[in-house]
Amino acid sequence: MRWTTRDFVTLAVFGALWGMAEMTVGSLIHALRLPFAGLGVSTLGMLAALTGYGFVPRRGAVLVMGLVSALLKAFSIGSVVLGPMLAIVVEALLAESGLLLAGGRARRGPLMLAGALAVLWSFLHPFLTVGILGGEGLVEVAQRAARMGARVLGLDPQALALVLAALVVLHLVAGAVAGSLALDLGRQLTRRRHPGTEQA
Amino acid sequence: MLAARLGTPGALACLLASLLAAVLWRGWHAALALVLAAALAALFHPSALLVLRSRASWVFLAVLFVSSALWMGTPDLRLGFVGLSREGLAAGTQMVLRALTIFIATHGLSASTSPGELAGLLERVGVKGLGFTVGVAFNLLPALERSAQRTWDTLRMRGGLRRRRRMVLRLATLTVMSNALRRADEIAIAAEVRGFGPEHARPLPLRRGALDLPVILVLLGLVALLALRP
Repeated sequence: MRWTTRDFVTLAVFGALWGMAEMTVGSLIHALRLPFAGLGVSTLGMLAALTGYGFVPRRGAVLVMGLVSALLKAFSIGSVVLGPMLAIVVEALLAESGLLLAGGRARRGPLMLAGALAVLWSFLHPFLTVGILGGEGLVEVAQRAARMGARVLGLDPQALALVLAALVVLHLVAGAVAGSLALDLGRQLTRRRHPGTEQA
Repeated sequence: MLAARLGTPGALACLLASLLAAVLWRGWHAALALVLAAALAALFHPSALLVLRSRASWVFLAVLFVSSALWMGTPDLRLGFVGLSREGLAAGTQMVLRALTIFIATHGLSASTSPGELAGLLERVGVKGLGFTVGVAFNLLPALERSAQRTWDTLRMRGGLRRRRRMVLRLATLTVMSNALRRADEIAIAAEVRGFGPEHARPLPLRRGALDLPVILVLLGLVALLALRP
């Protein structure tokens, strides 16, 4: 089946919502250097993207929304754009992979898997940008993540593996919740717009 | 003006060459990557250098430098009661050099290229319909912001987040999304009645310049030298 004009417009709407979340909430919480800033923004982004996927359940839809969001981010006011742009595109690719692995239907399972994989990237992203590209080293980044995670989660900072595992689980759960909420949001939106009908 | 003679492919080549230089030139050679990015910016998109006047950029760089100086390596210097390491100071400075290179290079691209041109470039490598989608998304942004602001104002007048926060947030999200979808319907209908279809839309025009090819060749040579050097 071919993509229609309506499909592209719907993807533009949800890509713009994702981009808006990145440009406003994302810039603010990154500037305030709040813990788990990436987790919050990725979860919001996935909520928008996976809700959009409910309306256009086609292969590549999340990637198009991700590219739209990344392009919006590139031209936003702010000094650090390349890292977030890269993160958005990788998250979109991971969400696409999750949907592909789970059969691609806009159901709870596939959306939760897609959200979980995509949000997990916000944990792994500093390993690539700061650890490898920035030259700080993977061990340093892992130790810093563990220190911050231990402080926020109230764990023993010496138990590096335990803290890192807890952080991975936290990101996976947040992403899965975003996927599940996206399905509910999509259904409620469909009911609002077309009373008496239900999203597929 | 050299800037006017560089098109989208040339601007993209400048970004990629600066990024590759920042990644491939390790240690103190990161300064050369910064020189390359600054030189390209001065030649082709001088407004990119305005990023150096941004306070947010310097705060970010300071945090990068200080955290590296404090936590990397074994402390072998003292600044008052604070222990610093030479290794951390060196690594912090090199990270700042790399970050500055990336700032200038990305600002160069955003200063010289419009989102439509980038979308046009992506359409040519197979992402069909992206130009139209990006155009619609850009035009939707002000409407979405207004809708979000009005929704929030309405909810605030009804008590805001003081009680039943989850429900209030859910209603706010639903209202913003449903307004956005209504607007999307209007745009889709307007596009369809004008005969627009993704299958028969021409890709967005790509701005080309006389200096594109020479700049790409020079930067390719430079990157090849970087990659091949012992």
